[in-house]
Amino acid sequence: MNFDDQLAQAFKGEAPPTLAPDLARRVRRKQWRQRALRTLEVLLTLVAVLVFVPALVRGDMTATHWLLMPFYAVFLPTAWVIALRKLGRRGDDVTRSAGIYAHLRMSQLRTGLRDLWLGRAAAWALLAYSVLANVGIWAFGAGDWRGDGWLLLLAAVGWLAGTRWLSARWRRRWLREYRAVRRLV
Amino acid sequence: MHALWPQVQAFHPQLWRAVCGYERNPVIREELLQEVLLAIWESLPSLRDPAMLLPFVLRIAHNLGASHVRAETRAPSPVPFNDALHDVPDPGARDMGSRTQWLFDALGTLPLKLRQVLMLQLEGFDYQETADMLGITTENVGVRLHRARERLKTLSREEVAQ
Repeated sequence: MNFDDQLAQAFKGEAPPTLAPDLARRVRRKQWRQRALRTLEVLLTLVAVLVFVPALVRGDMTATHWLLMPFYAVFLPTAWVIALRKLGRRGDDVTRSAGIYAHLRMSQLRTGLRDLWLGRAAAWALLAYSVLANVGIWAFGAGDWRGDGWLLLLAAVGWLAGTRWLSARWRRRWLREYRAVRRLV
Repeated sequence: MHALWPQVQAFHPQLWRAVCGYERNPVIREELLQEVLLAIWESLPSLRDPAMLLPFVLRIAHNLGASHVRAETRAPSPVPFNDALHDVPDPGARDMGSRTQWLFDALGTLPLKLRQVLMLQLEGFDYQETADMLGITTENVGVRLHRARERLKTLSREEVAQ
């Protein structure tokens, strides 16, 4: 038996476990997760609309509304677009040849890594805004705004911490995958 | 359920071997196989020619395996592929098991481009089929196969030299 035959025999000697994995449960779990994420997106949007639109229409915006509106109008949509619409593979990409798949996947991963950077930048910008807002509140003596100012600062710190944690976790995974896929190109 | 799914399940051994070429940790290997099967499940509607099902599913397995692998592993403890030793019938499954173990450990040390070509060749695909699946030329397949085989021979010769 030559070397190639020995390799082929050894290769075919790797036998799978007898039980095939239960895929139906995994598919249902994935579909449930996607539905849950879409529901969360819709709920967050509805909360923002229900909080701000009536106040804007009635003209009775309070300090809370004015301080939190940039958060909802800019930072929250930016963050959920990035965080909730997590980087995923399109179904047919993975059926392409290795080279094409590698290019497509690298492009998706680069976009994802850039979105993570945008998310972190948005979180830092929110923190900067909240610090400036609080400085303004304390400097110009708007006493009834101070509580809302603290609330905004607290939310900004929490948002930054959450964003950095999520970003670090995903960035590590995506960079590993990027380095692996790059070797196919 | 897609009409071709029972056929996909029949290709379980081929998919298993593909996954084993990218991951040796048993727990993570199962996860990777699940990921591959899920991708196949989602991609089956895009398959135009049912006769090409095996290349289709193996292409998915190799693409996901290549995305999954983190780094080449260190060289395995060699088990000799020695023509003199293998002129005699090999007595036991245990010896075959160690050769299989060695081969998959050695595959893990190969660069991805060499590993994929070799694994497809060991699965029984010819140069043209391998080239089509990987999107490269048949000449490229030949060159990569030659390099892969030479690396494995070198690994096996190191043990004989010891």
